[in-house]
Amino acid sequence: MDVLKQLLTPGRTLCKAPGASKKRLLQTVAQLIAEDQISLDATELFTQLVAREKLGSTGLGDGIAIPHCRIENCVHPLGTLVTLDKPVPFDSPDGQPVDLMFVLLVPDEAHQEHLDILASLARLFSQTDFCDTLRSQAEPAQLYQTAVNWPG
Amino acid sequence: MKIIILGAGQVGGTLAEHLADEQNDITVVDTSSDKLRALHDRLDIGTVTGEASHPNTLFKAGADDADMLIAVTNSDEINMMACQVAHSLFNTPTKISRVRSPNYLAHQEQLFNSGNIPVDVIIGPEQLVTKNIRQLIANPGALQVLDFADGRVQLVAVRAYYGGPIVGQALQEIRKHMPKVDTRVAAIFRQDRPIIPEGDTVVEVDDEVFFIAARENIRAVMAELRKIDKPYKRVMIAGGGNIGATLAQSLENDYQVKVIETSYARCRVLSERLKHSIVLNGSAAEPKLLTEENISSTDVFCALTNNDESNIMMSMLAKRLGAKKVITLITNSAYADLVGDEIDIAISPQQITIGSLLTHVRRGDISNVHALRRGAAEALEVIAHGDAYSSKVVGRRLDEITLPEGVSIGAIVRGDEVLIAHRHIVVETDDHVILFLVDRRKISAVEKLFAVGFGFFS
Repeated sequence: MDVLKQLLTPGRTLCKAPGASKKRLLQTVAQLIAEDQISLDATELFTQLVAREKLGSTGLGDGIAIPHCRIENCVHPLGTLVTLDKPVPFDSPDGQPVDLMFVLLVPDEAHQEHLDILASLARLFSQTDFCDTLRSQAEPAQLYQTAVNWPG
Repeated sequence: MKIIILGAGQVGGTLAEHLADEQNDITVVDTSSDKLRALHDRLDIGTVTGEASHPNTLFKAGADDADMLIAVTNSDEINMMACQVAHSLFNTPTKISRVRSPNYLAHQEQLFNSGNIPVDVIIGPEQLVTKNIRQLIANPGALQVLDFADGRVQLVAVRAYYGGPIVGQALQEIRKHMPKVDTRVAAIFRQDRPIIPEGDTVVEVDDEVFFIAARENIRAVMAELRKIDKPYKRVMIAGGGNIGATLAQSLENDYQVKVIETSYARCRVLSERLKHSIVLNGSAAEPKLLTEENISSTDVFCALTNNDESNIMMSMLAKRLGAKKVITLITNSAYADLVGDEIDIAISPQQITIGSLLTHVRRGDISNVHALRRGAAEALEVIAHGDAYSSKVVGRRLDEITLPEGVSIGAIVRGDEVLIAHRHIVVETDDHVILFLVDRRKISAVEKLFAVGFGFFS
């Protein structure tokens, strides 16, 4: 899948992460991204992701969430793929807890391209077979390969 | 949302009660296991006994997963320290602390920020109560005056009296009486039952009417509902504690203020701090003192000691001796229900504090929440975000927005402009929308309505 190839790296793919809560999950993700991208600060990322969630949940339903926000010092759009060891409450519209998550960060300036990326991610993660295959992966490397090589 | 409340006192307990039934995961921390047991017996909450600011107490309370910490113990220092620990060890996103001492509050901006004492929101109950009473004194006849959008819009509660021009007539008549003044009646409570007003709703004597208008129009609208009271001039304050002193200070340039305080030492402090007020050493429960100080020509008598019983009794006394209006501080909500017509306005500090706390608990971008009618109803100011695609309100005419039952939109503030809600107004992004909920249980439906959709980038 091209969009995932652009956004994802093996280092930003996390398999069966311990979730426990939405807060801790976003904290883990912020840390993961900040370690991978020197220009980004974990606290800032965490604050922005939490602020976006406060305005409305990014849960899509069926256990899937795509948290996203604009971020200063982010040069190009980038993402993180995470599967969870157990589902976490996420205030999703269907009330289902989340066990599969893709975090999308985009640069500060608003751009139609960002909305398009978000839309294609939403389309991709609405495919049940895609999501189930991701969920069944046990290793980060496999998870990464499965995601970027998914036909479509 | 997972929320940890530190302190199971009046505010902590009432807040837990408020939030426990709104699908929140609440844990209350206190040093007294008795207090916690009492709460736990009637509410679905978790409890932890321990020192509120200790890392292991916070850990046990689930700080690792908490979205919010609300520190309302009796100690300013414990509250602040708890926020520091939550910030440093648990990365808690939102930290709210009650801080009472004016000494800390005087340096609020320098002290409280993420680089120093990491408190996101400071709640100063004395300041809130003082502001509330000052508004009531500035608007004679109002039962409640609540600010929205920095005071550009106000929600006012008044009792309709026989003789008010609109009383006995349909609401739509207001427009004919005052073509230049725009207002919206948000709710009417008739014998404690809410009525959602329509254009043809007839206002009856004794109705409690909540209306919304731009600040400059409040007086004109009030005059429609009752014979307008003359502006107040003479204010007598019983109790020279924090609230009494701050109130006297904020009023003394515009009113004749007398403060009655029993402690001689405190009187000396007060007389140095207050420039134009008269400070009297004595008890406001003493009829002789009240009479000597011309209680019968006093416009407003405010009983603000820290003792509910004294406040109630001296208010009744003052009223009987001829004070025109009495405003009484009552912390025990059971007492507030008990007092009758002799007390014109009962002020509940925890009710006021809770509104202020709820502003930060509610989902969405909320600027103001006011808990009304002992917490049964609620008024709130929400900022609309997104566009016609990502929002269910932006880009829609007010009559195209499906509001939950018992919820009405009263006004919209757009920049500096106040727009009273009429059906043809289209909501724009960044509008401050002021809503009235006769039943606060509708809050989650309102939160959902204003939540931005998935496609929104913050």
